[in-house]
Amino acid sequence: MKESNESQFNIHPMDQFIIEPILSGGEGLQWYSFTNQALWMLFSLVAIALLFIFGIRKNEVVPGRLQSIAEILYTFVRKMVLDIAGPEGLKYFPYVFTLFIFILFGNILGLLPYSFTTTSHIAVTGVLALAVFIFVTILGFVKNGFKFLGLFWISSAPLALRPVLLIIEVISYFVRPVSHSIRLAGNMMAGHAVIKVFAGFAGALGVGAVAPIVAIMAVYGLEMLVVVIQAYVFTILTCVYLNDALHPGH
Amino acid sequence: MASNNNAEVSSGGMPQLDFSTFPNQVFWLSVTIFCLLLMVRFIIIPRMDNILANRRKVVEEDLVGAEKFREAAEELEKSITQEMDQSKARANEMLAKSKEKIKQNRQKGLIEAEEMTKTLLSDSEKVIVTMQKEANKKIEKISAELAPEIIKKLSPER
Repeated sequence: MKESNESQFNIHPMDQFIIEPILSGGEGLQWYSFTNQALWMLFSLVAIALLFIFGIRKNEVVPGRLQSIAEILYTFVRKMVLDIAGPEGLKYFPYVFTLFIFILFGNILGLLPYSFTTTSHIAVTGVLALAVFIFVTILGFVKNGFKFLGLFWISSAPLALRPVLLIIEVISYFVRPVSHSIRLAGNMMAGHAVIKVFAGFAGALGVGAVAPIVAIMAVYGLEMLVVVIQAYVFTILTCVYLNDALHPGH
Repeated sequence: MASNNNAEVSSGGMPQLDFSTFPNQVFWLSVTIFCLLLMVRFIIIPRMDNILANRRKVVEEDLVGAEKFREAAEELEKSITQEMDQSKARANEMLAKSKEKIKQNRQKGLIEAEEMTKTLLSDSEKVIVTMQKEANKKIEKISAELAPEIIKKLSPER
């Protein structure tokens, strides 16, 4: 079934996500081999450094373009942490900000043609989400002791309902890292796969491929939006979880 | 491509579910995130905080300066209105004074004119009286001179 499909159109929408070792002497993929994914992670590091370190000048009262972008991103995340997790949450702002810019730059760089979207892999988003989950859970117990378990025992609900709510709350708590990571990776993967499929149509139609190209443009515009929104969603959920750990009594 | 095909088969066409790549991904992700965290923690956040604090300071200083200017302007306005009020009051006073003076002058002139007319009247009355007296005297004198002649003229036939 797959073979016949390939012979007609030759579209491989998922090939863009294949992780391949580069710069290696044909020894295959080892845990340490430098891959295309590692290269694009490095690119996002470089892009972040360019924007936040070389793009800004000190003691400038009216910022330039690059500096405005850097400042907007910075104050945006800072305000988000402050609004959601409160002043106590600001202590963890560096971690939240690191997550935000890593995901944002991974997403945005992934939209470049021929690039690799690091955040489209559930291994990556899963590690990030698990790190948030474990960090927040430990933080909750360290800060509140066993009172942190009050998060699952809804004291404002009628007593008869509380055991039921306890089960629901515990399940939803442990599902958090799954939904947290799959939401991001799924969005990134689906958008890029759709663009690739339309690109495959355009290739199959040849010169007269107006409709697929218009579709690619539309999807690309949508993806620009999705890319930023998903970084925002991941960060805001991190803040919400952080708030739960800092103030479990709601 | 051969190894990739192998991976595709094992992951059902989704490279995301190819678990053999997971150690590699986790390793490079950890390295990247660690570097990024160090960068954020020790370079980006101090710099941004510095810039934003500096901007806040400049803005606050400017605001304080503007407030000072506003106060000075208000004081100036107050002094100007005060001076205007003062000069208005002075002008009113001067106006009232000159009005009073004019009134007084008029009254004085009226009184003088009345006095003058009175003296003129009395003087002319005196003159009239003396003239009457003189006229009477003349009449008497003339009549005294004429009387004998009249009598002479009336009595030649006799």
